[in-house]
Amino acid sequence: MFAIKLYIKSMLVQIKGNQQYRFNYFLTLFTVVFHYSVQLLAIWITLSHYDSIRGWNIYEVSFIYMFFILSYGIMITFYAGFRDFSGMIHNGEFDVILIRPHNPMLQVMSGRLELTSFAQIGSGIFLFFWCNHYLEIHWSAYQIYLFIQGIIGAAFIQAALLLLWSCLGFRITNTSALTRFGWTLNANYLTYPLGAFNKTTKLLFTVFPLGFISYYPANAILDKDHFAFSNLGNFSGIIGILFFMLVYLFWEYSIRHYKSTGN
Amino acid sequence: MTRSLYSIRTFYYIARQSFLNSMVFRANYFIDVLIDIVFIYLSIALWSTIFMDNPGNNMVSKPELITYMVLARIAARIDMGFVMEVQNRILNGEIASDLTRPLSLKFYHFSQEVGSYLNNLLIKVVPIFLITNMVFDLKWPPSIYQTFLFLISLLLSFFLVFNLNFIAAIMAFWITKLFSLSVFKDQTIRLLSGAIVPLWFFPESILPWVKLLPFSGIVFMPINIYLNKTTNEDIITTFIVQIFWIIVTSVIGRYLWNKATKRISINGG
Repeated sequence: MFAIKLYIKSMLVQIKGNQQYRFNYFLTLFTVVFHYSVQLLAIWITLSHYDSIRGWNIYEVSFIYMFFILSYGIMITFYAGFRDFSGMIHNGEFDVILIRPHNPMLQVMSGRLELTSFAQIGSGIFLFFWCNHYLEIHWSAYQIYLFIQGIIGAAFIQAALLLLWSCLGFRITNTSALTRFGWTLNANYLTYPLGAFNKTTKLLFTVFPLGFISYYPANAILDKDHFAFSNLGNFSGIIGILFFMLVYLFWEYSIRHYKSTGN
Repeated sequence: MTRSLYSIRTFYYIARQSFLNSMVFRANYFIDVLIDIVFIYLSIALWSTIFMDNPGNNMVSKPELITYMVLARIAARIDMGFVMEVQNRILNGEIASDLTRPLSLKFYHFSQEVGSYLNNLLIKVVPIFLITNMVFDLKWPPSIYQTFLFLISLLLSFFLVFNLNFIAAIMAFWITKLFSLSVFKDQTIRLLSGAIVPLWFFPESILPWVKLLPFSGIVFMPINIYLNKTTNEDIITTFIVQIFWIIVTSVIGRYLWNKATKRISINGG
């Protein structure tokens, strides 16, 4: 309980601190929106020339992309500390965290509240209404459940991914290549229907659950592809949480075997 | 005469040093190559599917499309290492000491980038291309003459990218949010140069305008020459557009640089 109180207090400090640099804040929002707009424009250009990919049209593919942005925005609001984690190991900040009598993960999270994630969340919501308008999804209670659990699962998987890179950061000093790899993979490839790749790739991103960030939950709602494990999309929330717990165990293990680089 | 000889020698030494420096990080090298190969593999899988699903809409053949995707990923370099370095030096003020050196900042970084680009070409682009070629059916240029034209256009592309990056680097004098600067630059170049989606697929209505911009000369036009999808006139137009923009971006770069350095001398002291 005490830990949560501390966490909330640190968040309030962050919000106040953020108001110092208004111009930079809005510039960053605009930059992030610009970044995603270009990505989307690339998808739209491709799909306005070619009509569809494996039977998925422009709105359906955008719907997959929406899952990626929205869940990323929600996740990074609270989890930005782990995005910049390798810096904390380099400058020894993490050593300080380890000697304090609180949960290390919570401490790293408390360090950062990413308010620029409004840009991702805003873009995601805009995209949601835009797709929804053209796709005419019938929103029954079950569909709403699918959507919410899909977003939760996606946020947990993306968080788990950041945590996993952080764990690897204990061994490899330069993880920026890996971070970039994960980012490009999620943003440029996994926002297409997985069927567009071959069977091996599909299986790989099902076992290592990156496909559950956007493709599986979108497929569950839109009810497009049917194959042996397409039903797994109905449970992507649970899968996401399980995957996060697994990575969290690995995180605890990594901390126990961590040797600082400092003197 | 002796002066220009001197600067050629300076250029050679800086470029060579940068070429050798790029060799140092071996572990990173293997990770980078592996990552590039994974992305190329996924790109090929994705675009092959798009290609097969839409048999009516194809204006290029499948090997051409695949070759385009491979080359677009490895041949042209969009983000150059010196940008961050210069921007950071501008922000922390160390740029002032660069101004006292006898060598111009632009010339120094240009020589450096040439070295690291050649290194990249030798240890990354060529091996990755050959590895990909073993698995997939890639297209090769039809003749030595065509290869030569492609290399010229790639060289012009390098000049153009360097100038654009130089402008972005010294923009740090006015815009201090480096993250925003690099996103605007990279994303604009990536989209409009055809690095993500080939310009073949752009809507007819905006295509002529996109082709007039400097960006198409970075990725799309050189690869078109490589794939022999151009007439002689197209090639001449390509070169003219590239050279035109190289001149324009140099002039802009020089103008901004003069303006910025004037500002420093006023504020400094």
